[in-house]
Amino acid sequence: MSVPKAFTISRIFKAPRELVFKMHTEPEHMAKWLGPPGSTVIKADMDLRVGGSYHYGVRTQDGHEMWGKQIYREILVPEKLVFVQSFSDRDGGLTRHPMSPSWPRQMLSTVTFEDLGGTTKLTINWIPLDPDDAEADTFNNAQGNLAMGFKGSFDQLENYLAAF
Amino acid sequence: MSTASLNRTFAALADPTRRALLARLSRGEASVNVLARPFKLSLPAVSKHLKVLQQSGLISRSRNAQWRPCRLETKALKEAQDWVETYRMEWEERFDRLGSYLEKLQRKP
Repeated sequence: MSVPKAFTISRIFKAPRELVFKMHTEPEHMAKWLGPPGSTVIKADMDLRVGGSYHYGVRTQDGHEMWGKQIYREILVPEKLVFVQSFSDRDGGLTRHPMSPSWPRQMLSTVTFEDLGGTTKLTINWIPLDPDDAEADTFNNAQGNLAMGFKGSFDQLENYLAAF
Repeated sequence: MSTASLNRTFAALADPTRRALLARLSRGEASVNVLARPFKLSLPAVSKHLKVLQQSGLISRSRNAQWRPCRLETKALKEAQDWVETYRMEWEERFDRLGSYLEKLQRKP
């Protein structure tokens, strides 16, 4: 079952979902694939519980520091993870300045782990959140409506509009 | 496309009424009255949705005619789609790394 959001990506991995879930929640594993190639981990402070957060920093090959924070809203081992992904700084604050122009300041991220009998279908959905945006606040309060809202990725929407 | 405008675009598109309005406008421009007809909503309610679409750049409203027809702006949609695709590539690469790492972890010693 997928939760329709603004952006969705999926892949099937040849691994049981308990292991794939660990890849998203245990810092030693997260360090092996999430950061840019050649980057080193400066910090990985994990408090995996609803309301808890993961504060992390990496230094890229060219010496640039990137800090992030994940604040957990839902943790359903081993099938689902929901968190707010934010930019951060060394002290764990939520910063307002994006590290790169292609990233929204905050995203609501939903990660699902589907058991296909030995293999796992990993699906990640994101929708941008902007704390300054009144519309985004409406989002936060109406997460139920989101499920009925944006169905699928952008190119599907374009096809839908074109075919109407 | 700026982060703030992308956020507005996504916010605009997340509402089913607004998506339906965009779908209707993809067939040609229309006045607010014509657009409002299929909906069980008041005219002010539809106008509010149109304002959100206008603020996100997904539609424009002509100032020339008395009835100010609304028009779909495909450029905003395309820009948002392009941004989404950049994001996708980054994640496909991450998934490649995850796949290799999982393989390595599960390899029999």
